Amino acid sequence: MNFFALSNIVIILTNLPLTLFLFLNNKKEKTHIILGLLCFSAVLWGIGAYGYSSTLNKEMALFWWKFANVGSIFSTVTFYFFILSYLGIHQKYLSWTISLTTVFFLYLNFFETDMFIGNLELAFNQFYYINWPINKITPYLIYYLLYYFILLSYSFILLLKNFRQATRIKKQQMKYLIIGMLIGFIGCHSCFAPVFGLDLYPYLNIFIAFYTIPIIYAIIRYRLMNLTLVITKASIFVLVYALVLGIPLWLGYKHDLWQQSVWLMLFLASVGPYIYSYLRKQAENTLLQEQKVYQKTLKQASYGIGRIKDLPTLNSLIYRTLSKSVGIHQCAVYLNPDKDANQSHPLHLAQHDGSYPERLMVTEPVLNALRSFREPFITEELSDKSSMQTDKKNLAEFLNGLNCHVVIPVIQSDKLLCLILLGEKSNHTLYTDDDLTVFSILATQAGLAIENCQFIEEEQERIKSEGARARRESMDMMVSTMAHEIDNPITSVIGNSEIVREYVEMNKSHMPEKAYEEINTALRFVENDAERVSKIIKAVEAYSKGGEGQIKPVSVYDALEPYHTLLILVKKKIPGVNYTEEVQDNLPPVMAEVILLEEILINYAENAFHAVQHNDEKNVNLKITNHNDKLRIEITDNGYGIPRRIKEQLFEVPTTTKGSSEGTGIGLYRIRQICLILNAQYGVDSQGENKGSCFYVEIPFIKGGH
Amino acid sequence: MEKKLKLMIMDDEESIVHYIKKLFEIRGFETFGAINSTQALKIFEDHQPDICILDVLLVDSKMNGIEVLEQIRQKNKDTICIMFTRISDDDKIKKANELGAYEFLLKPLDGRKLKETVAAAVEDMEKNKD
Repeated sequence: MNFFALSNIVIILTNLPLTLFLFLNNKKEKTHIILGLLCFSAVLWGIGAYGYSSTLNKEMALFWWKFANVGSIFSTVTFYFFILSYLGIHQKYLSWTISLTTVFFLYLNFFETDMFIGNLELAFNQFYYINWPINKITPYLIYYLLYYFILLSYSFILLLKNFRQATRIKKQQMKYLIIGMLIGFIGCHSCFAPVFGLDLYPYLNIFIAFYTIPIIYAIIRYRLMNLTLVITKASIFVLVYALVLGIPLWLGYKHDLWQQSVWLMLFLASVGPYIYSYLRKQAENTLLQEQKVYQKTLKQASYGIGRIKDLPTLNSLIYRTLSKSVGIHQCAVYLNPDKDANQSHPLHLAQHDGSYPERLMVTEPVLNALRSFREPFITEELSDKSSMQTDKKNLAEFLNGLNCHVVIPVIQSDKLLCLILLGEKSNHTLYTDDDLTVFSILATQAGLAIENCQFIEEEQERIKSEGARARRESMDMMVSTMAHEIDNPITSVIGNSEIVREYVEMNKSHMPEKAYEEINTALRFVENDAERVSKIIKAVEAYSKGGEGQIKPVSVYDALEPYHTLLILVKKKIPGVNYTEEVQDNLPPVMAEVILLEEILINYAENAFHAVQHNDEKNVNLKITNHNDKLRIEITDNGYGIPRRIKEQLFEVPTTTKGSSEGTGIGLYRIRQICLILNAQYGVDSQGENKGSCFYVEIPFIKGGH
Repeated sequence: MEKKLKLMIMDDEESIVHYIKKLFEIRGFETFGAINSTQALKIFEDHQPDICILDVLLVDSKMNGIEVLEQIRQKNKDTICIMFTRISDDDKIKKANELGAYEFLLKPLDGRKLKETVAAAVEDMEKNKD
């Protein structure tokens, strides 16, 4: 067997499995099928070329030449159609022309053989080959070769033109396609030399086998096709066994050592599985290094993710898994606080590394587009898809300007729980199919874990709020009982001191003047203090009882007296505060309850006193004014201020800037509830941390309230 | 010598009982104090007071003030009964009114208010005598 014949066997062995995989893997994908046909053309060439290179019978050689030419003719046309399909180009008339030309050359090949192939001549003393210089009567062969060269060049020009404009993953795919196709067609062209009588043995024919390697690499590494690892394994298998069988055959043929050749074949066949196994592992280790890292990442993440019971830790794990294990330069995890919302609403930034906005406004079309994707996607690939639907165009606009190469929507039961945006990988490589598979699995796990955490948090919140309510009810009862228990002795103290006073008055003439005055002074102190205690007890009891739920016209001045009484307690707790008041006169009534106004005042005052407690100079000012026909209650302090990050959520959820021992943060939440009842506005102005704050409420006056 | 008016005070707080007793003793009343329903009914049985000041809620007592009022009414329909309690309970006020309570005062007891109420009651009693 000559080398040329051997190279054709290798061509068949490499191209045939690839053809089968391309045909079987995705039958619906046009590009797959055309690439499969291109590989099949190479197989036909390999069979035909093996046929004519293995015989010295001229007639047989002619038969195989006709066979090989079918592969040759089809290889250019399938390459052209593959490029059109891959680049998404439509050339209706040229396609038809080329198809008809193909039919024409096939006709010539089979029915005008003399004009197309001519007489074969023995080449290199090994096989019969076309020889144009001797057979000048074959003009069609020259036409064919010109056509072959022009069509091939045109297809390459199309590929190169698009290669220049392509970016990222598409550019990488094209790079490997160009390399692969160049290798393949160098192999093809090497076979032309002997046709023109040149003494160049077609050694490079074997390149037609090697072009598959860059293409397989592009398929696996850059998702040229949705094929999997199996191609790599199959290719290694084919290559190994081509060598196992090829080397002995070549030895046997070249040196006529058939006996040794058989022994060598047996030996190689025995060690073949080990070689295959070794090469497979090596290939996996190099080609699939990333996948192994992912397997480890997934294992770690799946082990940890389900055990987490709180959202901050979960966000941190998701972020760490992506940024550290997968190796992503910048990454942001956004949580959806209102997962049931169907309208525009913001997502909150939970974890990030890089410059990402604190809030992302998700509109309905964006939400719909994310729902339709469900799976992670590469933003660059969105441009192809967005040409189809408006929603996806909106999504592309939404992502525009964000540092985002991959979007991972975490969706459970059609609800967007979380949105993860990934920047560039740390090693600046492109995202692959495997990346997306890993992200998809992580997203599914994260979705379940987020739901789990939300359920646990809601349950904890429910238990906490039920506990707080029960405690509050019990506290109200205790306050009431305590007030009763204090009230009786106080009544007795006041009453009995009154009796003493009356007895003293009755016996004034019988006692020294000094004693009379001393007793009177002492009684006045007893009565005043007892009155004060009684007043505080009444205010505390009224406050703990709350309102009656009847909104009626009330004056803010009615709330000031009980507020001042309760403020005594606040002042006692945090002494040294310079508390001032500016209350405008003649303010009209508002629709409210005295106790609700009192609650607003005391809540704001307590917060302000807390805020200034560690200051050297502690200033708190209450201002009650008519502000644009609204009763404006504002309390300003020079305390620790409000950090910008919590300013927006301050009234929304129970939030505290105090230590855990100092408050639950329920006060401002309560103000919000009161303002909803009173149809009032509320808010806070603060320049930031340690810059003080001004909390306010504005309640509309009753029209014509004066 | 003019016969003194008899006044009974029932409250579970001994200091309050003492205070009200002294408050009206000074004003010329013959006063009796009880810290539970048993004592109050015994005093009523023995001395037939003209005015009874009854606390509605009593700790460690067989009956509350309303039940004591009910018992008093069974024995004497004319006795003036002034009720006082801490909690404004509409049902109890209604019941007390049905039983002919003279006034319903809220705790903590205001000495001045109590003196005015008792004075008004005495005036009414005298008018009725005439």
